[in-house]
Amino acid sequence: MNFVKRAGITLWARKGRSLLLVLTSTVILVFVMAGLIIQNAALTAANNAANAVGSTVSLSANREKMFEQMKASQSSASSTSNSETKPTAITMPTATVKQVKKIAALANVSSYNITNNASVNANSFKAVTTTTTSNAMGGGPMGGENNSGDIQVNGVSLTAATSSFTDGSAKITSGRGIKASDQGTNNVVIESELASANKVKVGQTITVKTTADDAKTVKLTVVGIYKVKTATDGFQRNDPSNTIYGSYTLANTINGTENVASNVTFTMAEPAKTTAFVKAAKKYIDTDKLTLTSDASQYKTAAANMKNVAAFASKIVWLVSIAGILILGLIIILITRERRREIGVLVALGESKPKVVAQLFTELLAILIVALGIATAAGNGVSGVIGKQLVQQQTTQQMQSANGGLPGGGAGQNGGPGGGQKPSGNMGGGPMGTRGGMTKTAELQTAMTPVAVAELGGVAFLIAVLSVSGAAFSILRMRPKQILQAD
Amino acid sequence: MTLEIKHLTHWYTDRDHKLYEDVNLTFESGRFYAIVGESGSGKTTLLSFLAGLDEPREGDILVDGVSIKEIGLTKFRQKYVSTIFQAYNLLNTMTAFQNVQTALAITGSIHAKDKAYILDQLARVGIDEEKAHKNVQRLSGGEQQRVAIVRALLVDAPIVAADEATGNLDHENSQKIVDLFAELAHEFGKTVILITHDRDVASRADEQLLLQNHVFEPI
Ligand SMILES: Nc1ncnc2c1ncn2[C@@H]1O[C@H](COP(=O)(O)OP(=O)(O)O)[C@@H](O)[C@H]1O
Ligand SMILES: [Mg+2]
Repeated sequence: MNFVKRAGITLWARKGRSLLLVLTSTVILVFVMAGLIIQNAALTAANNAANAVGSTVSLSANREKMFEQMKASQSSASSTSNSETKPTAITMPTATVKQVKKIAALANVSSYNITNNASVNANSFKAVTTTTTSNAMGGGPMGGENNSGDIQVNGVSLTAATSSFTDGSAKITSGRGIKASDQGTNNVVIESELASANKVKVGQTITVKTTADDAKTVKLTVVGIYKVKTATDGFQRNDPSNTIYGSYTLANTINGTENVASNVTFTMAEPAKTTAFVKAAKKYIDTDKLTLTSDASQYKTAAANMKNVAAFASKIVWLVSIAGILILGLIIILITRERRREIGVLVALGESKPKVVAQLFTELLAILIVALGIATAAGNGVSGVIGKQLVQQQTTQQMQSANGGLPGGGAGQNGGPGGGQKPSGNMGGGPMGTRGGMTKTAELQTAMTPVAVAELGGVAFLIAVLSVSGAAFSILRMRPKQILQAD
Repeated sequence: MTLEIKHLTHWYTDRDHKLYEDVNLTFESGRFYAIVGESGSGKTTLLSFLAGLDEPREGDILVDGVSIKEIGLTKFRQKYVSTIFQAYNLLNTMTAFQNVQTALAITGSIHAKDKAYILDQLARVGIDEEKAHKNVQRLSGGEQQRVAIVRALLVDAPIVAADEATGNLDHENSQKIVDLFAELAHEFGKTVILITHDRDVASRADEQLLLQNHVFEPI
């Protein structure tokens, strides 16, 4: 271990040179680290995208087929000139709860959410009116059976799994959301503005009237109040405050239907197996009437984009590492040439050449360890900046895509799956609406640091080994006689 | 212990310009040898062979009949011979004390951890404690050479080979060093081979060899 001591003495005696090497190594390692951070972050982001983006499949009416049928029936109607008595009274086909449960029993389904909508009129209270409210707006939603009421009932399995609650546009402010145990009850969650305008509190009951010709009064129990972020865009038929959430069974009760599941969102456990799921699920439905829409393609694009970034980052890591090895290697070789005499003296004293190489290696390793420390300390800053940037990019895209509309969002939401938001930018856009994007991205920063440091240590070690081997080659070839001769 | 040079023939680049041809020499332990010769005659080259730093084109060097190649050149340098060169003997990054200590550690000497002993020996050649703890680059050329000599003398090698070891020293100091060499041969039984151009120094040796016309002749 004598060479370790010599390494220490040499490093101390040549402080200037050591410091310069530390600085050079630090710069190289910071570059390598930046690459590793981007790589890890991109991979994490790709996984997040896989988990967050493409994990849903929605079951709904096959609108395309319905439009075709509608057109056909319209043209036949006009030809027989039986005319306007029955304009477009078509019923949207729906799945049954039984079907849904069968599909949900398939592999890879982690959860599902049934959404049924109904329209009612306020009875014991008043609906909120907005200046833009107008029924004259054409192109109403297709989802509801009736759309003449002033209150919209969104029946769901769980509010917690419903897009407006998962993307943050709606939030429970008091009481609780709708749960599975609310099935078969008249429990509802109402909007805060509606609640305050009518002085309704959690625990109280309200009544609504169905819109059918023989209007019935339905008693509803308020179990929670939610607040919606007003995103009134003027095209909305109804004030968003007039939306009441209840169980999907409540919507069935109001609509006078039974076991209907007009919209279902299945959340995939493994997004990669979405296609297989869709294929299997199609066996349980009549594809002429119902359709299964997955956003797997978007997930794939998003994941592929991020994997590209990761691949690019790994190329950067390699490039910088190779450049670092070359730069440090050249410096070490130059320094070694300068140290010919020192090496010659050691060899003449009977030191073995491998131990001389070991001394050089120890010196460089010590330098790289110090550099690694500095780079890691600096890297926390670097990773913070990069991490923030990535998180920001991700969240902005999340917001955009959330507004773009998720599939199965129920009536009133325009746009089909994907909402026309193409995944843009490097960090993969696409809808990432569901399931806490923020908590996922927050992990991004902390999760990569130990990994990055370990990998960086590996790179540093590799640099040390390869740089010193270059010098070792010349040392092992050295003849002490040549080294020690006077000039 | 006997150190033998057998059928030594050497040239550097031109086979027709041989430094020596079929040289045979024997060095016995307990004796002090001086080799003199003109500059460029090949004295340093011979020392590089004796120190196991280089290998001759032809011939062999034997220790008690065993070729040093058989012993292994690294081991030979470590255990059998200690060498003092004309220049660049010391590790520039270290103090005088550290230089000696490093050499003792490499050769596995029992004195490697004996700080007082090392300082004592350095003091014998005029390197006091203060100087001993200075980086060797802060010492004069003569002082550096004395450190190198002490270092060579302290490692327990049976052969001590020195190339112009007294070249940088004044008369008084060079006498002191020569005394040391003589003492090593006569009292410690080492084989001492000293290359010099100083006739005074050479005359102190038990045997003098003159390298001339590719051969060594006793004077
Ligand atoms: N490595 C070498 N390569 C080629 N020629 C050398 C080398 N070393 C020494 N010489 C030549 O060999 C001759 C003897 O050199 P050297 O042994 O140093 O002589 P001395 O020590 O007696 O002055 C000189 O002519 C010198 O130029
Ligand atoms: Mg010479």
